[in-house]
Amino acid sequence: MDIFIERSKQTIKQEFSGTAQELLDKLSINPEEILIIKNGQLVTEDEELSTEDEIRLLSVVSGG
Amino acid sequence: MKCEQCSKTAISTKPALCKEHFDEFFLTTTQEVIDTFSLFDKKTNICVAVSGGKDSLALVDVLLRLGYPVEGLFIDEGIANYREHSIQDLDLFTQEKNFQVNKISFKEAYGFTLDQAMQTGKVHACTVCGTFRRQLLNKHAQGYDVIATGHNMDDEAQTILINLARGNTDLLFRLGPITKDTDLFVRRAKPFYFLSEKHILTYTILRGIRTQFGECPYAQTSYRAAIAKLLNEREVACAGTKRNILETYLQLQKKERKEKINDLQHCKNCGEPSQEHICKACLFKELLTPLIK
Repeated sequence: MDIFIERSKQTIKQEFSGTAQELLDKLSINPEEILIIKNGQLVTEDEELSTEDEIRLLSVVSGG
Repeated sequence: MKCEQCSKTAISTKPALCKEHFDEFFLTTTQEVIDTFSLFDKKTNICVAVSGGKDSLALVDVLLRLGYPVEGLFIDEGIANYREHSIQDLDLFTQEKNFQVNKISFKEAYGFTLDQAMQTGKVHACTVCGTFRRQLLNKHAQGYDVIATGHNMDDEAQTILINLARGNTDLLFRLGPITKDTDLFVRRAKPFYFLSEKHILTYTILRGIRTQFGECPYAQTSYRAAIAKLLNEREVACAGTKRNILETYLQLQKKERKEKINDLQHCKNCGEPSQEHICKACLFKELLTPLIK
């Protein structure tokens, strides 16, 4: 699974299957601070993810 | 997760809504804030403070959809590798929406950029930036009835806690969705008062409004960043924390509002509103100008 983390501008590769919330827990990312895009679609934290998915974690923070 | 209004798949969690119902929720919440706090009406001459970031572009988009005629005011602080990206997004947006924006900069107004001010090592970025921005917005929005800003629920909850923690009671009671009407300041309105950062980014994605990720390079070191982290942790542990802070604040403000607007005067140097004989912006300018390389 390719996971792009916008705030740190990095893409990481991981073997993962489970919910988006479980992925966030694994990465120590607070769900209040991001939106989850799975294969180009906005999804909620209970969405099931699999290894083939492309994930983008967009930062909700902007400005100062 | 299913939408709480229909059987479609939800795209937002709090509240759990599908695309169509989220759009309805976003417009309705904005309209309710405008009406509940009497921010403005459709005859009001509205200036939106635009940065090119998600909050201000979403605000322009929503206000245009709700039928409010608006114009924009953009301030370029002069922050390299940051502001030029949002200028690109703003230019694209203004072309698409045929939206009029007046652009001004720290460099034109004060003779130096924020980056140059920071190189002196004499000032804190957010303090000098906030002082200059407030002054320029007020100065260049003369002639409008109200300045609408994209401040959201996260911004407001953070500012309340920051002022509480610092003991700034005067500043604390000047917050809220609309400022008081005075001769010195153009009123400021916050139509996104009850919408979160997360709601706003969701809206921009659904509406196809392009904004690049833009976090001010000076923000990470700020006190606000630490408070934001704390609030986000509390919101996950106890949903509704941010909204409760705002609701409690509004109750307190009703009872305790003691704005010191009457204590304000015109700066003897530049003529802008000030609490002292010489305003903070002039003091910063005097301190920094000889040091700028």
